[in-house]
Amino acid sequence: MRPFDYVEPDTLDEALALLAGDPDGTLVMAGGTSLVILMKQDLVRPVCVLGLRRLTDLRAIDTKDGLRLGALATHGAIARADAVRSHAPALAATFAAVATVRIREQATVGGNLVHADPAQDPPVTLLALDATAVVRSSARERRIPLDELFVDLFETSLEPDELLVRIELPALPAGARAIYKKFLPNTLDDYATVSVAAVIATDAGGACTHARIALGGAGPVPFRARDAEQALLGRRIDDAAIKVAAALAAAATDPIPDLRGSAAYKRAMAGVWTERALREVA
Amino acid sequence: MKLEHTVSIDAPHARVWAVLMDLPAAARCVPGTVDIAAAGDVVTGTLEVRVGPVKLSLAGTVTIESRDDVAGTARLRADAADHRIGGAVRAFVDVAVTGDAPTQLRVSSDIAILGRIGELGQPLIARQADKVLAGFADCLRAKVAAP
Amino acid sequence: MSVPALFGAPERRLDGDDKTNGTTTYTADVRFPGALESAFVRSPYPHARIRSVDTARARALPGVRAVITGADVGGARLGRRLQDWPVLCWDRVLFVGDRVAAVAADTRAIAEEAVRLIDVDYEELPALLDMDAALRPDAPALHPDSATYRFLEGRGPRPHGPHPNHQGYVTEAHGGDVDAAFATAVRVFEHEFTTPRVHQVALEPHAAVVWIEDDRVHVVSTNKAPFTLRDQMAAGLGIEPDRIVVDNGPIGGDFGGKGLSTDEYVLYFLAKLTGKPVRAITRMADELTAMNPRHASRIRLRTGVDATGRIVAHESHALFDGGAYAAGKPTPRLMVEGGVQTLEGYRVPASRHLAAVVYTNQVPGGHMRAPGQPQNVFASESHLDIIARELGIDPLDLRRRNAARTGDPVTSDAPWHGPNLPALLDRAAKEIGADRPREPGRGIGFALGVRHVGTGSATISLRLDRDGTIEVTTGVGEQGGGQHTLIQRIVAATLGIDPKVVRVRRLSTDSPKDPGIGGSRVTPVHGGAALAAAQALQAKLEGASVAAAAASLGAGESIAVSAKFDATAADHGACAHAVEVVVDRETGTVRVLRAVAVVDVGQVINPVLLRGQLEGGWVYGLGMALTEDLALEDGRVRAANLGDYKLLTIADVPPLKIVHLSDHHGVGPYGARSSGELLNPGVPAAVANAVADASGARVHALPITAERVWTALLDAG
Repeated sequence: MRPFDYVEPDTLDEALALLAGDPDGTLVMAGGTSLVILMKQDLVRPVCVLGLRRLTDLRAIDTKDGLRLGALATHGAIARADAVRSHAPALAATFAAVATVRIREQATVGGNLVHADPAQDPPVTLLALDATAVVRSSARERRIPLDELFVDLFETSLEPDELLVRIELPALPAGARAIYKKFLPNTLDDYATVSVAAVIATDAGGACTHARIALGGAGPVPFRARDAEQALLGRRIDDAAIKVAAALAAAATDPIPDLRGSAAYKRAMAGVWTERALREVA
Repeated sequence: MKLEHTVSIDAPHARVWAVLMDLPAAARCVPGTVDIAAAGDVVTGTLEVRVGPVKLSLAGTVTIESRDDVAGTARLRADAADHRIGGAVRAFVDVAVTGDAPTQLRVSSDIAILGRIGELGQPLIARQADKVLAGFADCLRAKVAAP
Repeated sequence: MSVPALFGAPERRLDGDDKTNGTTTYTADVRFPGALESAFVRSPYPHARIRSVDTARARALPGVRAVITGADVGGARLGRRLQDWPVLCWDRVLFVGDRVAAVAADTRAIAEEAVRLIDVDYEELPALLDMDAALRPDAPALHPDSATYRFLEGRGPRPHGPHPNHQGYVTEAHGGDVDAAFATAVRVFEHEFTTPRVHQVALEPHAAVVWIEDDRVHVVSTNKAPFTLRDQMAAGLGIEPDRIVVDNGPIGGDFGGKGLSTDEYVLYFLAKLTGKPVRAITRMADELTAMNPRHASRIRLRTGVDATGRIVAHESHALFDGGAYAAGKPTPRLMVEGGVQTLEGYRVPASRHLAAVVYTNQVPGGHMRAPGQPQNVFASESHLDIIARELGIDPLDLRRRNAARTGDPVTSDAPWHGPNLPALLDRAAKEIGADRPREPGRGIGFALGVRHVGTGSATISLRLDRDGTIEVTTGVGEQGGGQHTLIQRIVAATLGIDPKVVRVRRLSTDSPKDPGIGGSRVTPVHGGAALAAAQALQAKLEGASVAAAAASLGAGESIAVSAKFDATAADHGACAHAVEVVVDRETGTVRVLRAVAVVDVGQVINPVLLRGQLEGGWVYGLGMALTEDLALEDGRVRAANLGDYKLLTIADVPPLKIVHLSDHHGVGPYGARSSGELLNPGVPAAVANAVADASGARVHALPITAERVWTALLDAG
């Protein structure tokens, strides 16, 4: 690792001012679990690292207008929070499924989203829960729906002078059921080969009134399988409907072949796990 | 790693070939290139590309290894290194122009990732290389189509 | 010899306290004021000619103390048996990761920066990336000057194969006329299996410090056989062995990989040039890319059986990808010896074997926990299972019918000597519940693993002091396997004293020669030497107790004995494996639900460390079975980090029951047998056989990934 400057502001305004001063030369570090590895490999060689750990306000988890996760809330804190569990147990389970306990107590939700690793777990469930990212620069605040945050592999729509400060999730439709399925055929601490989050609500007659299906590890970014969602709306979620939706979800994938599987295998598995997820929430 | 790209261009064969063999112009068509300059048969320049979380600045050369104007085929060679991270890319790019208005351009690349850059992982690199070459093919099409 | 009660008590390992409280001084912790750090320029090409190396910019960097290239090493090559690996390459590089230049600098960051400033001009050459390409009649010899290479003395002459790209080439025939025997077979089966490179991944990477003082070369390194490293360095560098002293501390994991050292040779040149200690610590990416993984293999087996499924004839053709250099193999035949004698542990009246290690432009192969054997056992035990299913015989029955009994002809020259194999198999079947009905999707698989007990000689000395303590001195180190605790327990038990009064001290190479750790050797060889030394002391005491003898000593007096022990007896340990798996047919995912290993390791001396060796070995085998794959693409390692090279975590390990069942005929001290390399070889085959039992999918290649099983199920319709 090469020497670099490290600054640790006490307030968000101070952090934003520092970032505005040299947006391209400054790397923002939240939990550091991804960044530090890249720095130790000398693949990333920052001039200046802006450490956020003193911004304790950004660790808050609360239930204003649904659920709000401060960007610096750790995976472990989110997995344990009652507010998260009562919003959607699947969300807590998603964060609990990330890597190992050592990583979960260090890695933050904000760092996770901004790193934009397509194999990560939290973006998938957050997409299915209609999350919005709240980002700030020294000049403005804006809200980015999560499916507009991810642009490409490890690339987001954040401007260099912007910080992700909060994730907001609206209240779920009454009776909605959510699930996250992480396919781990290798080791239990691995990234998902593919993963699926599904949120379903039905009316008294059993017809689907709300459907969200999001996929991870199935393309350059985590994404929603909107055709599959559409196919379920207004229908009874029976075996035939599930099979149709699963096939549409698989068709929407654009998997990157890697050591976790060929593109064809990942595509097929996206279908299998969509089907399994839907069966659990149907 | 081997990559294939084909584009169909609604322009005469001769024009496509001429644009392609104007090496500095063709090199500028690669998305992310800066400081393209020609020195004799060699074109120098830098390709700035993001591979996942890492920004690479690949400085190097492009030359025509062989060309056959009659057959409409040529082999280009690109060598570029990033001295900050330590690593290099070597690519042989075979271009083949067939048909006439529409003209088919096939770009077949054989890319070797050398040194530390390889630690970023082959899948990531393949994806970005694919994107760069697809961008190159699209840019050529646009350039040829322009009056 | 009666069994001392001490062996029944759980031991407290001698190295345990320091390791758990963090005070153990590993090689990377050895620091000297003013010491320099090193970094290396490595080839990005699998095969290239070096046109020129420009070091000017690196030399100009402040803090850089020395830069050397292949031109500065005087043609020196390194290796454990055949010294074919240039210390730094001067004309050609033969794999991605081969070293071309080295820097010594004030800090590691400066050294690594300097490496980036060195420009090497390469002319790329066609690379031989697989064994078939390398063995084509017209394939160029990767080592055209091979005849000039140094081959370190040992048993037998330097091996030669029919093709210049053969590293080792072995043909063996055992028993009767093989062709005539095949002619009597009712059925003949032939199958082929492949295994990838896998890596030792010791927690501690290779590391070394070298300095020159009083005209002697001082080496501290992670090498597990310091005396042989000394001799290899002496030969490779052209220095008298007694001018090199290797003084290695504790080793943080070995698994075979710590037998090869490469940095020490380069550090010698850097230390000579700078007059300072120079240190190297290998990055994990470089470990995975360049440090002696297990050889990839392709093994074809052909076996003839009679009407009852008894083996009548057998032949094997095993190819191992040795990579660019044979330097990582210490064996006189330059062979991964565990891969030659296929169907080991079975009665085979007539067999012939061809095993070859091939030079390619890939990472050089080395030794790893039972070298050659997991490849062999995966092929052999999968082959037997397929034969059983084809014959309609229960796979366990087929094994029981063919398992070797004492004195039976086997696939080696000596008749079988080893545990009661049918008894081990029967117990494994009982423990896994072979007769019980199973839910759909579940299956069980068996495999038999046998492993020779090591041989060799070692010297151990004892000194009884007036305070009643005994100091044991030995040239063998501690690499985590419990070597020193074993020696302590044998000495204490033999003398009937409390182990607490027995200290074990490791000596540098300025002491009686020691073979080091490897080849399932320490328990029979060093354990044997400890027993002999303790008996020598007992004889000297002429019936007096240790305490009484100590009390009778005057000030400054002590009683010293030394014993050299030569372990020669042939013997085997054995393990019958049984696993139960569930296969998810939609995804191909294999989960091992539980496993049984019924072992005969003879008399148990260190119950706690033994459990560590057996459980660790089993998990090691499961990693090879399911996830580990050091895949290469165009000569480059794809999984060059531990995020992609998938080692199992403890959460992935199923319940494992180990049952000890001994025939009490071990040849080691007190009837002990070796254990460190016994468990891992059989696990992949047991899992593959269970997968076939559960799903019908037969996987002929490791690892047994979900995608492979899924594809096999699709292919089977």
